[in-house]
Amino acid sequence: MMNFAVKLSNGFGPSGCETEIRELIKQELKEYNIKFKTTFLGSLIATKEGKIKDQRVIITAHTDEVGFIISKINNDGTLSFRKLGGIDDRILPSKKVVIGRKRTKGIIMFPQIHLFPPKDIVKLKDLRIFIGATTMEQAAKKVTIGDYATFATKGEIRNGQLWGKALDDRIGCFVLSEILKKNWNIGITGIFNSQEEVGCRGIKSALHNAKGTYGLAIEGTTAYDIDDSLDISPSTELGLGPAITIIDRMSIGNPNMIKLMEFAAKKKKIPFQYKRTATGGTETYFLLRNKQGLPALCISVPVRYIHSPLGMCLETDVKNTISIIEQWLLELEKKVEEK
Amino acid sequence: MTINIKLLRQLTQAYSPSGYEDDISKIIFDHLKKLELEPKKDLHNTVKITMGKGQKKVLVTAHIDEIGIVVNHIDERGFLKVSPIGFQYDEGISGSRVIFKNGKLGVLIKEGNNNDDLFLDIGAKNKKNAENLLPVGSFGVFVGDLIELDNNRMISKAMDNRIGVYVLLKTIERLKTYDLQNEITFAFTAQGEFSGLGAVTTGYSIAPDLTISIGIAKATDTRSETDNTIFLDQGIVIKVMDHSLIAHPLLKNYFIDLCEDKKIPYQLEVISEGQSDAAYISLLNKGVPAIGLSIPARYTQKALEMVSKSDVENAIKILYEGLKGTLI
Amino acid sequence: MNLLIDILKTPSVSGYESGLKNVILDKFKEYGLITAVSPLGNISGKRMGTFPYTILIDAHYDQIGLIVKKIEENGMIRAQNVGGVDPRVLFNLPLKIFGNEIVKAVVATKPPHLQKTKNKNKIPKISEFLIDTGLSKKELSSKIRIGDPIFFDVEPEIMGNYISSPAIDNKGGLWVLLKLAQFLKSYKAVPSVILRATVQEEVGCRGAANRVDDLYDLAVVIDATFATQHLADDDHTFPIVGGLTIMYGPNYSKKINEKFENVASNNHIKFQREVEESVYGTNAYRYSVSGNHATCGISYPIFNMHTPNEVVAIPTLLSIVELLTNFIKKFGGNK
Repeated sequence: MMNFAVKLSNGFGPSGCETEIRELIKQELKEYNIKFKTTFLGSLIATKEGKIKDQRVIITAHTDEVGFIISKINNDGTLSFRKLGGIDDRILPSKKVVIGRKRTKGIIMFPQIHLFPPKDIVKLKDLRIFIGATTMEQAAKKVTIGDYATFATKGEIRNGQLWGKALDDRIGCFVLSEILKKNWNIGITGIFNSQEEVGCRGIKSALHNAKGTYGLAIEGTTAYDIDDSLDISPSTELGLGPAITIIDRMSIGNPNMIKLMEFAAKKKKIPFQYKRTATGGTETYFLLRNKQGLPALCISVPVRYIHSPLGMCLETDVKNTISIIEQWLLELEKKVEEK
Repeated sequence: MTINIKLLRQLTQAYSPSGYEDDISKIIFDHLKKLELEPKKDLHNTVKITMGKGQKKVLVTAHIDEIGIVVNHIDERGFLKVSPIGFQYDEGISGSRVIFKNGKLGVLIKEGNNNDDLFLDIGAKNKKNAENLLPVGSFGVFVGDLIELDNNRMISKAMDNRIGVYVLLKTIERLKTYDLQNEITFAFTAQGEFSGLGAVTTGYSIAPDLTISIGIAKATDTRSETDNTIFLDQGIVIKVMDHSLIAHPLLKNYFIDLCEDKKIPYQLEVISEGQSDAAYISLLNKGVPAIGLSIPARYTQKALEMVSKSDVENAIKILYEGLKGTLI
Repeated sequence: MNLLIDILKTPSVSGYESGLKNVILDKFKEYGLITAVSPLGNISGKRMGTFPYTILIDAHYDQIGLIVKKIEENGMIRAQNVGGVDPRVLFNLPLKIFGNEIVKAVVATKPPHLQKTKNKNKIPKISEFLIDTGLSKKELSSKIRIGDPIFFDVEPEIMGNYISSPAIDNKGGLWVLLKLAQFLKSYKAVPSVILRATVQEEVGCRGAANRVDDLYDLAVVIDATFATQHLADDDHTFPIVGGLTIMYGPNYSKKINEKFENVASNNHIKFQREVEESVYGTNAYRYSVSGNHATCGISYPIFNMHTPNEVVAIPTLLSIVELLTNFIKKFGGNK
């Protein structure tokens, strides 16, 4: 079952270039009676009808990942680039990337320590990608300016852990896909958004076309649970189950929806935790403020090392996230039917 | 006209951090009911009331939430690490008292120069003890009773923006019997200190032709002479420009002319910071002409904020006169 | 080419070269060389000639890496560098730890969302990084011990004429050595040739300092040098398309260099001159002071030296093989 998650993680989808991810999802969900629509900005809207006609849940996850865009081909055949999304510059030196339609392999160059004073932080403008070309002409055959690029990481499952890139938010896409595979009484509109990492752009446009009465955002969120010595908030911890966001940088989860989620979890004895930092923006805000407002919240899979080439999350956390959402939907259906 | 201290105390002392405005929205809702009006409350705790009929739809807002903190980590010794909601840490915050929904109290302490050095001491003995008292995710607000000082000045917690709420309630009371020329919706909005959520959703559902938001302006009369532009006691502040909004010229001129005409004191403000409901609403739909009117207050975004009664009275006067008219 | 990828994939952190040792030994034997292994792990393969002149060709086969220094209570591992590892390339780097079994890991990094502004531009010391295997201390106890070597878990990548990988320095040189061994198999020797793969160069040229039993007349050291790239383009760097470099300086014999340059010119082999004014730091220093013989150095420029993605031009490596085979054929016996 997790194989699809690995496939999603390996997919090529920096913000603004999510076609491959959309196709993967459509392919996976094609036999599940779902209507698909793609917006101009590249969000995939997956509509599933239920018996309850006037109530729908909008569930979102974003398809894009942090990445790069090629800004210049230099005379020596190397490429200059810009970042898409929040990446710590310090992780860039000497990482492998894949570039453009031809999926050209490249390496972010970094000179040897002796030649480059160890105190210096390398600046983004000084980083170059080498693609096996030593002249501008050679390079131009493989890439063009404006090509998108991502980290070249091959994901894998080991010891019940999923290791790979882009788990923020391919793991959310995976969870949402699993939810959409089942049949529900309440209608579900799954939005696989584009361009979240560059300012939640996909959802802003997608919500114009989507109708709903409840909202849920699924995220892969920060977990820095590795350093006991610091005694600071790890944000979330692996193995404690899905994380409910009470507050992030932009949104405060709807208290009633949070209560319903807690209730669902306790009923089925599904472990959960709260996200314990108020940082990072999510798509929840745009659900909350959609038109006259939706009751919405965000649930996340804890992921170590998001926004870098290699992150990790636990299979059990992923499965518990699916279970908690399923139970939440059942409770929501009950609540709607009672009305 | 005098200030209804009892009502203002009730408003300022309500526990209502952004996202958890249940208490204050109930007080406002009940107050409007008592005025024999029919308020509505939405999903995010925004309270609305529409009065009058006319061609133009006018949305007048005041946000009802207050600045606060959220607990995001409890360390081994039982100290609470907190994140601010709606304000920045600075020197003036250390030592402030904080209260939570369950009545538990704590003191914010900052030792050291970094923002991360701020923590909350609730008297807990250790981590477990603290977790039982206040679990991670608890929202707290500052403590500070309403006190009347000399020269008509008052100080309290959450003066931002309960004084705006007070002004709006009093204006509604006075306009109740008046035959308005426009369809005016008064909205007491949620999350004004955080994401402007109440303003955005209300703005969407009302789709107004113009909007006015009532808030507070930072009085700078404590600073050196070159910097001070806004003073206590010198009247309502017409916000010409702030970080998020340039007042619509027609609205600005309307209120300036009105003040001149009625001999109501006013001050004009141009600042580089600030965010208001009006700014959120101005971007909605096809764009909405907007302006902010504010009551000057000292020590904004601190535990205690000070305003002058005369400014409050002037604010009610200008709003009353303004809304009675045609507006633009 | 497969051989190059094989040796690149076989880890050999300084002091822990044994995995690669047998590969080299087998190849030397396969090509009929007389082999010997020193106590530290230097491997030599000798082809006897008919003329009393012996050429020793050295390439070190160890690589830089990390070593387990401490295992924290929560299973996080702290490491120390072996050789010149730049902490600036460690952020979120995939690793392989070679304990009782191979354990994959990654260098932990804080996501930007949780970072404090004051630390954003800080480069931690290597011992400050935490390495995450996803396993607890208990689970690790049967797998990893302090002192186990750690390698960069980065696969070789062929990009046209170029190949990238960790440890191109000096598996490139080792590959040249193995190619030479193949050549020696069918070579009717005039001078004798000793191929010597040495250990522990990255931690201070220790292997090359060990005594060689045979006497020899010329030592040629093959190693990597800096290719010109952005941020590194002074006179110590050489264009990656400029071909091999012939070393000049106190360690090296000018007379033999002249011969090398002649051979190169006659065979249309591209070369550039490299000056090494400092006498320490390479195996050439060890040879030049360890007996009465000439020492030469042939290097190949690589990008990104001592990072997980070093890059070399494969034609340059092949040109070193060509240069040395032609040199052995033509000048080897001419004292």
